[in-house]
Amino acid sequence: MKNIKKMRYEISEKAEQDLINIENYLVEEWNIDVLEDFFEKFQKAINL
Amino acid sequence: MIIFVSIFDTKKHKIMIAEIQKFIEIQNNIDQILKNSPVKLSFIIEKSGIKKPTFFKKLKEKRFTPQELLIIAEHVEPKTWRNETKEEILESLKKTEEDFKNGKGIPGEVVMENMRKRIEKYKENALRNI
Repeated sequence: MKNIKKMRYEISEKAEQDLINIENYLVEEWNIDVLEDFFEKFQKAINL
Repeated sequence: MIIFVSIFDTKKHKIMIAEIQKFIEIQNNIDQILKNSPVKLSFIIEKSGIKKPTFFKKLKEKRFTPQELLIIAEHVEPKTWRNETKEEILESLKKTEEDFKNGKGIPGEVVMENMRKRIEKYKENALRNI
């Protein structure tokens, strides 16, 4: 079995603020389902 | 003085008539406006809060209320999101570099946890507004 190390990462305050702006956009312009879908995809992408 | 007030009122009156004419024009051409909109009709219908069959009936009869037309008008054009300038991006990268040097980076687990909490809050708010 391969020993895959989970990548550790950090983001800046600005990047987190950008993320919040994206979330607000998705909730305001679309709906909570779209935001949840984004969250799942974002989580998947970041864990790759 | 009286003449001045009268002229002023006439001007206001003309503006009012022009605005009403514009409103009627929009109401009469709403089908074309929606057709030419780059935004999906299903999205606009959802935002209007009108049920689909009612929306199409109103569209056919051109009988949207001013409030409904206002909501439609607010959504026919996609929002323009301003891109950051090159200088702003460079400034942001510089600040990020400094933040990381000073140990101010936000760990990934915290980012995801914060995001999860925010989504819960959005959900709570959405439920409260039903």
